[in-house]
Amino acid sequence: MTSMMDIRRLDRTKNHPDLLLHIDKALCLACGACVAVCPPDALFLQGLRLTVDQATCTDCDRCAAMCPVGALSLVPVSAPLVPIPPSPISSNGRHSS
Amino acid sequence: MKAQYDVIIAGAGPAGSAAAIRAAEAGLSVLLLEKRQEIGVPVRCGEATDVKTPLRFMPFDPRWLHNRIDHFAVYNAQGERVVVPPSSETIIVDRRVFDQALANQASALGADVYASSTVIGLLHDEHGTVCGVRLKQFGTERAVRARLVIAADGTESQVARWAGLKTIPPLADYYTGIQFLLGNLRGRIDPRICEYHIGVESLAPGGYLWVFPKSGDTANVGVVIAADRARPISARAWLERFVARRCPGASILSVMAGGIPITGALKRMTTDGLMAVGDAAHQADPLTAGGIGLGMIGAEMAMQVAAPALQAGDVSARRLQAYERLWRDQFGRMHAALYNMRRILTRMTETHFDALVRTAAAMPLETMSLPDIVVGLLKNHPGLLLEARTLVSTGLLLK
Ligand SMILES: Cc1cc2nc3c(=O)[nH]c(=O)nc-3n(C[C@H](O)[C@H](O)[C@H](O)COP(=O)(O)OP(=O)(O)OC[C@H]3O[C@@H](n4cnc5c(N)ncnc54)[C@H](O)[C@@H]3O)c2cc1C
Ligand code: SF4
Ligand code: SF4
Repeated sequence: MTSMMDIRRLDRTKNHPDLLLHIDKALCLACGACVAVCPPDALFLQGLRLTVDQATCTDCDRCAAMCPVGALSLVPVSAPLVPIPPSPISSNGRHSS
Repeated sequence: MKAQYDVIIAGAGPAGSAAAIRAAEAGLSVLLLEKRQEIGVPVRCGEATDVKTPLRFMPFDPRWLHNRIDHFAVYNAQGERVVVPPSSETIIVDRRVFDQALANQASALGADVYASSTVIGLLHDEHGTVCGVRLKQFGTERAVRARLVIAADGTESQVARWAGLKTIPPLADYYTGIQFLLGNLRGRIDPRICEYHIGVESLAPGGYLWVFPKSGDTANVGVVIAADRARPISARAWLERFVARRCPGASILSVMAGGIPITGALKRMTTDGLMAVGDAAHQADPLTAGGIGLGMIGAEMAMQVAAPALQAGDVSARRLQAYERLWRDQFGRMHAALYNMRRILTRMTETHFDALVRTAAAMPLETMSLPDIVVGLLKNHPGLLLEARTLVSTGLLLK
């Protein structure tokens, strides 16, 4: 997981190359508010699934300010990644993917 | 689905369906595409609207009417309130049924309507004029040509963005919002009254809370706050606080959220071969963020210009720009006034607003004109004189 992120970091042109946008899937309501305010169009909502293209994201933080439930945050790449337990259902009852 | 249409519309919300209805009525061939699996679902709306506008597009059907509203009540953070009748007859609709009825009306008039069909790109001719869309339907991609494309794909509009129309407003010009459908409210709400709660410091920074009753014991209860004031306390946290105070123990029957641009309409809503309508063109009211009726009117104005343009075989931006002028003539000044009013409310201290509501509550509002109300308020709140010019012009414009 960490190594995959490191590889992606190489081709990003960021303001702060040590930050990544983290989506808390358990909180996200798939409302699209963040998508509307992202200047470089780095967020994608397909059905109930929000994804971010880290290579396009410029860490501007607008989406995180916009999110009505606080599901988005910019986290340092070096922060320890919490392993996600292997459950097919996330805490909001939606299938995690 | 045919290979070519006069008009292709991306998005079957109220604005897209209204455009489809007017286009079909003008005898144009119409393709209406909706990305969602079911039109109108999930609902992302407080569902309050004036009744006159939709009735100009489709016949009344009790299945989309939840409730009729007699009065609006504006509360301050102390729970004091001003009660006024709505300026036009207001109803609470069932957006799921409402949106589907509108799309169905378009199809009854001859439009081809498809859900689960996402516009994924635009086609351009050799001069750069938009001449159709690429779409994905049930996993298959295809291209369909059109003489005109309408971007009616809501706040997240990619279509308007691909066409180069979208700007990036500051966060202060967005509301971020969340709403619960609450149950178990019998005896705690008045089903004939829409409530607005304003408290820039203790209730909803830069925005407001609402209680829109859907029946005797259910209501849409939500909040919008200015997106530049959404931290550290999120919209959800503000709503939870309010619900705990206003109606503790109510059941949460559904949760929805969304963002709304409150800039007033985009300056450029057209390009060669394409027009943007509804939320995709930021046509929602810049104070309340209501956009159902305004989006439908915007769509109607767009087709009023587009139908003769198509007949004349000229869909150049120069010709289509008449739509932007129509919009500005009808709503430009009003929207600028509402925008200013929101800024004044946002800057005002909460104590000051509380006092304003108290003064207004003691005035016989039902018998007064809005300018009289404004003058009455100014007399009691000389501090407001700083903003008087804007407020008075707002009052006159809204009369
Ligand atoms: C919390 C909240 C409460 C609100 N409360 C009210 C209220 O009480 N009263 C009111 O009048 N307004 C309210 N609004 C605003 C109102 O919901 C919108 O202004 C209104 O829905 C705008 O209509 P529209 O047709 O422009 O866009 P939408 O209703 O958003 O429709 C756009 C459609 O386009 C579809 N779409 C998007 N991309 C594509 C694509 N690529 N291809 C095909 N289809 C696509 C979407 O799935 C969607 O169905 C509220 C908004 C929010 C967020
Ligand atoms: S941080 Fe900025 S660029 Fe990155 S996804 Fe969010 S809005 Fe887009
Ligand atoms: S704004 Fe928040 S809740 Fe809405 S889609 Fe983005 S991350 Fe999810």
